[in-house]
Amino acid sequence: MAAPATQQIKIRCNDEKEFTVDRDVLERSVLIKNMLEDVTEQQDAPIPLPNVSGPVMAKVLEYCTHHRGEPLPSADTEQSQDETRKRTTDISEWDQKFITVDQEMLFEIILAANYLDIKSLLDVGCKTVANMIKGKTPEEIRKLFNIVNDFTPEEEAQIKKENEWAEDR
Amino acid sequence: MASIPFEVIEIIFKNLYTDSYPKLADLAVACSLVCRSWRPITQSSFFLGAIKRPLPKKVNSFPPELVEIILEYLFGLYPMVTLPGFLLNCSLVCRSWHLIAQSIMFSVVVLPSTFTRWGKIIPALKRNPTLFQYVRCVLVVNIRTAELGTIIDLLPHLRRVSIIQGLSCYRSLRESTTDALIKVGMNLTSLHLAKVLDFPIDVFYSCSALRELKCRDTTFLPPTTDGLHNPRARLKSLFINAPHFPGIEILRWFCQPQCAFDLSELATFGCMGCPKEIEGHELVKQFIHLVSPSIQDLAINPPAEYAVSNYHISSESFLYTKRLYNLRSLRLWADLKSGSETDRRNHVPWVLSFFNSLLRHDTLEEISIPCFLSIDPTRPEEIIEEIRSFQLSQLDDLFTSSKFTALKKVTIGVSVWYDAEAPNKNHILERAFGEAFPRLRERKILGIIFPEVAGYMSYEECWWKTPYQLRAT
Repeated sequence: MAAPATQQIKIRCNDEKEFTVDRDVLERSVLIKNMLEDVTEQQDAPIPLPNVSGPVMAKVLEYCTHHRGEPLPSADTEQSQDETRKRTTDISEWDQKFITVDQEMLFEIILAANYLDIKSLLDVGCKTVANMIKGKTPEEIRKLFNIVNDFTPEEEAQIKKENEWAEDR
Repeated sequence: MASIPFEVIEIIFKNLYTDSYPKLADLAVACSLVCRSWRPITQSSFFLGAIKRPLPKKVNSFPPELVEIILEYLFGLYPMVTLPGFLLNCSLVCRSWHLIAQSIMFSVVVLPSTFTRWGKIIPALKRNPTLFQYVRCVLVVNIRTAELGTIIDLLPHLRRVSIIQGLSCYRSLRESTTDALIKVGMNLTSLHLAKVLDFPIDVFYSCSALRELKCRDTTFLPPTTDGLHNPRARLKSLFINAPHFPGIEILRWFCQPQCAFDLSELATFGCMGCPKEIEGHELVKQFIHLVSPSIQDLAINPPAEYAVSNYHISSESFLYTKRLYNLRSLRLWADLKSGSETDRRNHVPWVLSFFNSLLRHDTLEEISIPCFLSIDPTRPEEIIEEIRSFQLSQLDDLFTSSKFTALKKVTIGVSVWYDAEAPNKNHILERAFGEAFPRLRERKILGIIFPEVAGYMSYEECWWKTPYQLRAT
């Protein structure tokens, strides 16, 4: 039998910060939803979330609270929606405001959404990053992601040659 | 040392790995610089698996699966026939991004080349045959091309062929293209056929893995064999529009044992309508009777005077059957460019009659309905009055009734033939439509969307781009 919507659940982040949240809000996270379904007895101990910090979790909860009650994508519809999802980088007005954060927080939100399995939040974050990448040079992208260029000049030249077909003429 | 097997190197790394991920990343970079043969180890399951476990304390890289999602978004921003030139930059970022970008860049190949750059892709692929493994989809732009026939053997993972556009002077496929399709048919899971194309039905007999077929204004050439000995493809998704079938004989073929498809598992069905003269024809009813029980997602357009080319809507035929036992999603779509006053007035009554004719409502989870207006957006009071005159509250009552126990989302696609530009026009409309559906809004399952092109809600909007993004009202 499904638990009442008002049931409160405690979670603990990796910096020991604890939150008490309505179950239906937390269940936006498939990871937590599955964990709660696996636990038959009610437990008072907080659910440990070792991969998420307090400040990031606070943002994630803000998102989940705003979107509470909205239908979660089911596994079978997810696949059919996949193509559709990738054909747009539109972000709703509220989500756009929500995701206007500094870059480090943005990346942390994406990583947390991936870990917690919150598909819609992951989409919002990844779309935002995709928009950031648009029009950037490889060097600018490296700087954005703090990536080390591990190509030799020869390899770089080789890749450019391989991809000549796609260059603007 | 370079000759030590990877498994052993992995064990050494595991012993070295005692702390958090950033150190592991440093270790990976250091090891990848030792020599060329050590580099692939950084892509091993150990490293990739470890990356997924602890999150980085500082953002210094992204897990590859997230990079893939991001690059797919970038790729998806553009129609397939445009070029993924921007992905070049992504492929030059670093080694791991290169692999991901490459697999995305070459996943779709356009043949041939009326586009200069696409014209070079085949030679590029031939220079580096390993790239062929990435190709999942081929878009055939010019049906007279012979290229498909020449490269088909080189594409081990080809799953989808889309023939984008037939030309009125070249309606028939080249023999080599037909042969190529027959050859590759066994692997194909998806086939999209263009407008104005004569397509030999015989090709389907080789497509036993086909799960999705989309045909738009395709004329099917009758089969030359009975096909009874061929394995039938269990089609899951079908989009057809009847008008250009040779008569309606194609429907007879669909219903017969020699049809190349087994339609018993058809879950998604879209139809653009059929000519008035065959509406209610026995074959139409027979076909719908056959496919209805398995259909979960249905996209049809409501009857209208204005419908393109005078299609009378085959959705009428669905009223002859009550066999839609498993309907989960219904998307009504319409070309609303020139809707008449009668159409507008008939719209809600038709929607009501459709839903009232269903035997089961408790399976329905999603409903998308077009609404359209011809208004002056600078006069909000007129908009509200116009919306009221639609009597949309009847739909609000219906969808919130106890019959629709599983309903999770109702989307109203608002198409407006703007007479004038006005600031906040969408906001005004959104609010007005929200007020027309107070109960759905209260349940937070109402979404209002505005197709990008004012006054037009095409079947692509409804069929291929749905589900709409739910917008809070």
